[in-house]
Amino acid sequence: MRIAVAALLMSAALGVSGAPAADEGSFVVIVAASNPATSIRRQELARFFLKKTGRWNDGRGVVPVDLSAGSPVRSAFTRAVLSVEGMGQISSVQNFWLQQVYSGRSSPPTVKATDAEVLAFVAANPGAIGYIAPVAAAGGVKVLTVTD
Amino acid sequence: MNAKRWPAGVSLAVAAMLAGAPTASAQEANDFVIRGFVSQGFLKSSANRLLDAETDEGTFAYTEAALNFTAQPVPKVRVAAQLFARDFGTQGNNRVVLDWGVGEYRAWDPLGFRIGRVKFPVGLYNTVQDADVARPEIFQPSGVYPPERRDLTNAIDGGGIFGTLQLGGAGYLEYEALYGTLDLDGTYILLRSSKQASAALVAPLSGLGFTNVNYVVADNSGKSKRAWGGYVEWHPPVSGLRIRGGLQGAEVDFLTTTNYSMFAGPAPVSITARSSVHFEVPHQFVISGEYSRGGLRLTAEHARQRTEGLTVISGLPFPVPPNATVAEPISTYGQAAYRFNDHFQASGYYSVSYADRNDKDGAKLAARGQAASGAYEKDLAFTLRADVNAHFLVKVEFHDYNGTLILSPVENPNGMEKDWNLFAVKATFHF
Repeated sequence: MRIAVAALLMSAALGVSGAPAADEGSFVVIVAASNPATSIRRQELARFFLKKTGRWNDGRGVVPVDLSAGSPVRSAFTRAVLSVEGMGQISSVQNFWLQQVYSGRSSPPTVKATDAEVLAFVAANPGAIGYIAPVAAAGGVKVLTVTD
Repeated sequence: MNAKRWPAGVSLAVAAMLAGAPTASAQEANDFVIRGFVSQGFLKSSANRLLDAETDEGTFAYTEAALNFTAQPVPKVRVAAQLFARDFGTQGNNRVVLDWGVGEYRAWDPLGFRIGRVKFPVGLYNTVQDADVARPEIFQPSGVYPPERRDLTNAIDGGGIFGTLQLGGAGYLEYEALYGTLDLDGTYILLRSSKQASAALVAPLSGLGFTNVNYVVADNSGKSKRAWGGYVEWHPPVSGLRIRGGLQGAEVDFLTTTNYSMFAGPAPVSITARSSVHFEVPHQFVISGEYSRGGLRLTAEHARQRTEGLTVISGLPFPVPPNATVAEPISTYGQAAYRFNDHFQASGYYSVSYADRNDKDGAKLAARGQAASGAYEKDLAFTLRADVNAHFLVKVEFHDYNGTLILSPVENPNGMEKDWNLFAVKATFHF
């Protein structure tokens, strides 16, 4: 038991590093243009998408929207953001949601197939937050700066 | 396996299809989501019968099916439920039951309310004991997740609170606290308790000179006075690390009526005995740690509890004093799981469990005429999981056991082997 705990703590010490920088330019995080937020911390972003927390500072509910599991943008977002919760692979995130769904604890975010659908969803929902490829950003939404 | 049992499990899947369950991804629509699975397993042990299944001969009597829905009618309210059917040896018989069903109100991150039949959050993974698709192994480590007592830890009928608390630079906390009762109707733990209480009287009756003592459990019932539990889980500012401390307890009563038939010399004799078993877990602690990075997941959990039992028997032609027992079971396991890619995952764990930390070698059990190996269990397990596609997975698992803690002497009347192994294969279709 002592050895197992020591190994756990040692591994944890090695895992303090942040998300891969190569993914930083692969996506942008968007919210509705009416949302007063201008930036968001990576930890907070991860908790929103895992539904561990769900309130904006003004008390409004957060509505995260995901891209499909096969999307390279979702892969980049997962590696860069959800890795702070130890879920840097989409399969890890899917397993997390399976655990939540089959235990009755939570349900995964809405999933949209394309950047355009995510953009339209975010633009139409004041509390929504999504991510899309940088070139896809357009009117009705604004891009949040992601900080550590 | 009883062929008549098949339709219950399969019908859940068919019902889901008819209900219009999405075939591509249940995540596509958030307002109302249906999920489900059907599993079929095969078990073969080198010796001993596990949980009253004919594992020593090899058995396919291991099926599970679930149908699950989640709906969010308004932003702060969520309702969800799962129907579940199981067949494991003499357990379940594919009877469809409400596995869990909850209504949830969460207006604030730090405080939410949950009511209904709520999965019991014992350790990190008890809430997914019925969801083979959501874990790497077939059989969870039995010390922390004892399969013979799954009915005592499955779900609480009641309610409680939960939430997430921000700790600034120290990460955040998640918590949950529940209080209620347990549904023990028709459960394996009730059946096993009845059999053991009935079998315990065979030797005293034989000792009085009766011969050919046989018994039939005529009636049994289980009632839960209370069950409670909760946890606090700390997510420190270290990617992928979580540490949980949990505390649980339960108090139940089992009533059994047993008809004994025997001979007093050449004359047949019948006796009806009634046994009352009061079983209480005043407290159980579970300390857990999990670290995930990339495809690797490391887990360690330690459980310690106290159990108190009191058996009172009436209806016999001789006085039987009440039998009080106290034990302090403990268990520890470490597990490593690695996902190579979207299709393959390998995992293994080593689990050590004792029925009473004050009798680790079973000396006290042996003094009462029972096998000393019933006091402990050491389990080395390996699993390969293959996700063939998004809807179909297969697991192959091997256990090397030392000890017979999870086995029942009543289900193994010809004795139990101390060193044994178990081979398991399980295929699951899910949507």
